[in-house]
Amino acid sequence: MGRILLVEDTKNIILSVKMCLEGAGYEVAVVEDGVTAVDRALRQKPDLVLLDILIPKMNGYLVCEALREDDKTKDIPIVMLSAKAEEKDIKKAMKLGADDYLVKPFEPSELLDKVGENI
Amino acid sequence: MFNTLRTKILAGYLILILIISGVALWSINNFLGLSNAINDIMVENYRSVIAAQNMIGSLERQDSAELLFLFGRQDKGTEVYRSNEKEFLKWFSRAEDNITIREERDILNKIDKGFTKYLQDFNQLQIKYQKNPQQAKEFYLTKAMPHFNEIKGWCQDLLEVNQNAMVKAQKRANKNANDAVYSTAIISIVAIVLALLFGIYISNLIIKPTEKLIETVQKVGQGELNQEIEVKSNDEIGELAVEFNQMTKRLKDYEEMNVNKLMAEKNKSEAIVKSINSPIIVTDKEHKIVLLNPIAEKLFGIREEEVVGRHFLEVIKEEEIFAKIEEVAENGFIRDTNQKEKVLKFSYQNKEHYYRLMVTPVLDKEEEVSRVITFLDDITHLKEVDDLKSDFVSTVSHEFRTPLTSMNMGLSLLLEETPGEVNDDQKELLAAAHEDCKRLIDLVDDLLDLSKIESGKIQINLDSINLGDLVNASVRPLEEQAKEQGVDILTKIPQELPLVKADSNKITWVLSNLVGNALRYTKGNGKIEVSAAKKGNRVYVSVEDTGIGIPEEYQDKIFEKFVRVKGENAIDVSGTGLGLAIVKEIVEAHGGKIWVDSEVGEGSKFTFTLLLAG
Repeated sequence: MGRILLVEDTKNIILSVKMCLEGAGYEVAVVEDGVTAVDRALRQKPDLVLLDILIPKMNGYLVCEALREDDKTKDIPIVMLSAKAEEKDIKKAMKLGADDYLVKPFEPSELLDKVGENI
Repeated sequence: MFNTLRTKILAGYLILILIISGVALWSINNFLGLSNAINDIMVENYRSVIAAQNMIGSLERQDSAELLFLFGRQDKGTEVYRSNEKEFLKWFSRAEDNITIREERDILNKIDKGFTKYLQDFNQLQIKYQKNPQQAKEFYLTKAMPHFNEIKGWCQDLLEVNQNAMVKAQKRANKNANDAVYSTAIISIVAIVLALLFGIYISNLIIKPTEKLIETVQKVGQGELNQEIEVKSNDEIGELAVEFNQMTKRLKDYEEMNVNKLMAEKNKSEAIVKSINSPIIVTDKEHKIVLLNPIAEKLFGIREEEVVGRHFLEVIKEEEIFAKIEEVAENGFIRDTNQKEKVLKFSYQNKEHYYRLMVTPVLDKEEEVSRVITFLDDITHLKEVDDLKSDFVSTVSHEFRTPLTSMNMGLSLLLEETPGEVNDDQKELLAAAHEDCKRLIDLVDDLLDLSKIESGKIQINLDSINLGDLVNASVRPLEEQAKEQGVDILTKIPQELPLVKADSNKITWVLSNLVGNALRYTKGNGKIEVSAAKKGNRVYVSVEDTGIGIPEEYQDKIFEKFVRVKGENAIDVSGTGLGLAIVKEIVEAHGGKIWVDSEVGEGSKFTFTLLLAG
């Protein structure tokens, strides 16, 4: 199927999202801060990054920007996950190179659809 | 003496009566003079004339008697002579009794002496006749006849003297009569002139002060309350003037009192205006500044004493405010009452201030705008609170989203049996929890939307929109649900309906919400109809259902937040209680209105208005 890098700092969300994706057959790696996320993406080159915006050390926007700047990671699809539901937040993420955006809270089906569309 | 009008008028009449009496007395006097003159003629001279004539008659008959005697008829002659002698003496004594002229006496004396001689002549004649009739005849011719002629001449004189006196008296009477005519005429003219002068004097006495009175009353009537009537007379007019002056004084006092009261009121209102902590500008019909309070001075950096009387725009360069003032001054009200009060932002004293602009006309008695009050309601504090609220709602909803995500995901995965099998009872419980979890998610979304709309953060992007497309787009996602419920959704949008001015996303939301609500309250074999019609410069859009309806007491409140119909007809539905509140906010932000007509058991009809494009 595919390897997904989940960047998320909320344990409870990690639990359900990981279970959902693994249930659908994906291989899921989890990191809990921005710096580690960039490092891990460079090294492992996942098939898709699920990226929360409000994360420690380096926020989602910056991670997105960093991944797009590096040749090794610039083609990895990025789906932003955020509780920020306003249009301006979504636009900002798209501008910085995100491929899609999923507003929290969401249904497992929505998550799987987004991942399926972008991987 | 002339104390009252009555005595003045009476005195006037009295004087006129006196003048008339004077004229009458003078005339009577003249009549009496005339009558005396006539009397003179008639009584005094006429008698003497008669006497003289009779004396001549008697004398002539005596002469005849002497001749008779001489021609032989002694007896008869003597008899006639004697009888006529008596007659002569009778008339002579009459004449003597009636001497009116000096010459008369001399003449009478001569007659007296002559007549005595004449009588002696007759005695001698008688004696001579006895001796010698021829001698007697001689005597008669030489003595008696000359005597006779002499006496007759004197009697003639007497007659003439009296006749002359009569002529004189007649002339005098004529002169008297003429004099009387002239003098009476002159006196009458004098009397008339006097009466006229006096009449004028008396009428002036009355009319002059009356005219003065009228003049002053007119002035006072025109509001010149400092007028005083200067009437010095002590009559009724004088009394009236005194009373009137007192009345004017009281009026003046009263007016001054009113003016003082008004001044006090004015000062009070000014003090109130000045103490209000929001800027207030009062302008007149020509948009000239009349009043300004200190906070307005500070806000616009001007000073009241420098700007009063100057045009608003000359002093305060705020076109937006002025447009409102102009509109109010022209129409007496703000035409578009649907439009929310404009919120203006000004910076002063290094701080941002928010004001709600309220422009109110002051109408005069004729309902014309005389003043315009521009009130900038300082809502900075409200705005801050509002911002705080928005931030709070935003933060809270954001904070809710994260836990809701894990709850929703967890429940969904359990229901999908991803982590393992669950039995039916467990599934039912999980489904209930999942439903409420979803409701919480909706609530958080709606709260955030509402907060954004209320704080004006949601931008309404108005375009010219075809309403039919919008309705179709809104209804389509709900058609499947409607079919499941056995409800028909009909759309009746006329082809020729003009474009409307709307933000398509927002109005789609409104329509979806209204149709969604209708579906929620309409079960089995029901019908939902979406229709539109143009009325004036607006389009009326209606969503009508055949659902349970809304009790009357709820119809006004239905658009408020978290209001749900309670009671026996209420259906347990999964709304957030914010949908209609958001709908209302969106419609009003479009300059429209929304209302509901409903009858319990019959259905509900929600109608909102949109402005035509262009």
